[in-house]
Amino acid sequence: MSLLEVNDLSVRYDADESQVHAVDEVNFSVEHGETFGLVGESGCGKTTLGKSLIQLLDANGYVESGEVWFDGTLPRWEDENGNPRREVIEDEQYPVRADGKTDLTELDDQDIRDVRWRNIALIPQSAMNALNPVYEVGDQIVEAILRHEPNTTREEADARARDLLERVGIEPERADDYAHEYSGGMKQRAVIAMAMACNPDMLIADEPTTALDVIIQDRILEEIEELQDEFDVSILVISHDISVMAEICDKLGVMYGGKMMESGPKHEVLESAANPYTLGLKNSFPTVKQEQTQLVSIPGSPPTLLDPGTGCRFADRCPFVVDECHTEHPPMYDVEAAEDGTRTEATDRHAHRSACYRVNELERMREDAAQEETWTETQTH
Amino acid sequence: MDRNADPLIEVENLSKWFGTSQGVMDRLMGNESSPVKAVDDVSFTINEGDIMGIAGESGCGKTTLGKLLVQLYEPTKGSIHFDGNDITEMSNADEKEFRKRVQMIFQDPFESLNPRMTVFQSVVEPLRINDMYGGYDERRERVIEVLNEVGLSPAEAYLNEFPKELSGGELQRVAIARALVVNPDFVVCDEPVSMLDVSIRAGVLNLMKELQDEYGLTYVFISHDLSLIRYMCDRTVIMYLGDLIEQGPTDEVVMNPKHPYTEALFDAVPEVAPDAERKRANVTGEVPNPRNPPSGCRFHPRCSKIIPPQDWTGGQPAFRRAFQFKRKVLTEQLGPEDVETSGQTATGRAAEELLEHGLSLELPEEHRPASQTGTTIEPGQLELPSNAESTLREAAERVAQGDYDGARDALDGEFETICEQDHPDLREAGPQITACHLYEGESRKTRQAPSADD
Repeated sequence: MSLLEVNDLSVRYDADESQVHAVDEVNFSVEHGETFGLVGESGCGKTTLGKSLIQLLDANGYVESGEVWFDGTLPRWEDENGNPRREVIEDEQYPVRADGKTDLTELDDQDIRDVRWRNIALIPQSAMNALNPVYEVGDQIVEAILRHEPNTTREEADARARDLLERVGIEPERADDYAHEYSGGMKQRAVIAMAMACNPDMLIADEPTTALDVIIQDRILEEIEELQDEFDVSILVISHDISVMAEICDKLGVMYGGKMMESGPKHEVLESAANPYTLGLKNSFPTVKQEQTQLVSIPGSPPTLLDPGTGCRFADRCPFVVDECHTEHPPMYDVEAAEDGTRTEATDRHAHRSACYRVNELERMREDAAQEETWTETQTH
Repeated sequence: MDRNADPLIEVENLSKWFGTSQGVMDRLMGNESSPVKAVDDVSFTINEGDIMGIAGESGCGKTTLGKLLVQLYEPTKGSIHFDGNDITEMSNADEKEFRKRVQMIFQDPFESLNPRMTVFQSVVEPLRINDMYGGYDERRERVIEVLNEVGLSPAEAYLNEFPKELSGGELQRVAIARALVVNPDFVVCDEPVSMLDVSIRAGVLNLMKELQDEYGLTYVFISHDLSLIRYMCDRTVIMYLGDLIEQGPTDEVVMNPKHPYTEALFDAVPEVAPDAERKRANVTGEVPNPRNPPSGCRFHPRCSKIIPPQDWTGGQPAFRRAFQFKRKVLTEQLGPEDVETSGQTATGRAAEELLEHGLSLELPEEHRPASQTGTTIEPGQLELPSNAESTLREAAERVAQGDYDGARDALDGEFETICEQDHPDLREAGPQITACHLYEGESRKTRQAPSADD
């Protein structure tokens, strides 16, 4: 059973009279112990999606529709084994399903706080600035533990904080230092330790290594992998850097203009991409050690999401555009079936899926996408 | 690339130090000023028609070096010759000519274009300042020509736009047009695409390459993104804490690095191919404070290939650990609080634990020997000569009792390495030149910068 199940989630930001469609009918699931990567360019809605899962949107943002089913529930709805109580499941007023999953979008401000950190923890973007400069680093971790596990004594919490720091490679006595006494890599480690404080089932890591130099990034990536092995935590990684994703993720979801364009196991998405946007993105991404090929950019620029029209979000920049693309944004099609030339909507959300009407012409699309002329001849503005 | 091109830029022993002046308090207190050596004694040559990459981690001095090249900073020491003339000693008239031939493209196009000027006003300004192309009509024609060349066509549609009306990719093209409108010979690009989205980057990079052919340009391309350096540059300079530590043809520097730092740097870059076999970087710690950089080779405290002295009979990995142990003791990073056993009651046991802890290195798993578990290592498993081990143990005993002076005495004169004592000169190593004592036997290249045909 999956840990997180996101169904048709749409998130909007109010902007005067109109709405920004930051996330639009996105579907995906994350399994226990799995690393799922959301990749896309700036403004594609990946951070908004991550934040909306635990209701951390800005004041003008809200979940328009959709559900976020999470395998876990509030402490006061649990029985002694940590499972939701029968009467909670049966009572309509609680957003808890028969399989024990809770709809996080239905929780109020107070309740979601019990889920944050205890069940789902966030490693925020620019984690370097996420530490409070006027508290000792250790105290910040202790604070989190005491808030979510009120039965812990301060001494126990303090010992656990030191343990966590040591676990991520920081000397335990540095718990008594302030953030400014830490180097950049140590701050990042401390924030990771902090996220692990209450032993969550899931981590949301928003650009966990973006501000770091490459050698420190290398160490943090190893740290994340080790943590996952040790604690069996699921991680939702959000990043624009395909190479980081290729290294740490099990599954990938490629986002564009608020929509999920393609998703599936990492190998399949990267090695046999089945969506024009993914193909274009791969063409424009340089590698350091492999054979150097001519980079090709995708013409045009990403759409503004202010009241977007109907039709595929990528249609304006897509070299494979046909009339059908302007009717409605395509649903997710099953790629395995498409390889044989049939276009059927995907039923298994863990399989390789792609939102493109021409998915049944995959072979030709891949061939053409590898040609530079394909991308330079569609000049759109 | 023309292999027999003439050098366009010759940089010799160039240094830029910041904070060299003493404040009033410093003078009263008798403090010496401790400048940050952002660029320190750097020499290299850029040939006409080359794209020279400058790469390194943040704070290594790459942007400072770029700004020195276009005379936005005065060097503290050293000289820069542009086309044979020393640009640090130019007359005003010469400087005017120089500014016309040399241009810079900045990192953030959202910041580097004046929001209150239209595209036309921004691009025509260099022409007005340099008094080029007679009148308004000729200048307008030139602006339109350049805008078309940078891919903003039809140019007429862009002339009266303000920056806020354009996308990042379009803005950076305007910035490129502004640099190229005066027909320069040399352009310094400081992270020109780091603010742009991935799908747009490639277009700007390819444009820069095309324009290079068209204008016969020489570029300096500054970036922290090593895959971009690989894609763009003919030759690459790697910097670390203000030092130039390696330079050579980009392909060689990437695939066959000579300096241990360069090797670590490129090992650390993740690959897009999901199955790519990648080694993790074999370095310890982080970049130290540039105000107080390490002596000798600035990379030696982190280096995996630190050189043992001649009379060292143990293994090199063991020396690396012993050296790190000494450093931790001298800087008092290692202390009685690091181990559980109290140094006052059970000195021997505490010293043993300190040794196990202090000899372990914080490294990626693949570079850790099997005998290292977590943060402790069995000293007996290392190839440590017995006298070295007893010296270390003695120091550990002193540390266990909190006696750092005693520990310093015990370690004094031990575990010394050329890497800590001497700053390495630039030497030839295959097609590259590098500043590392490992290439001691090779001929020195201190003054003479390389040309493209070596």
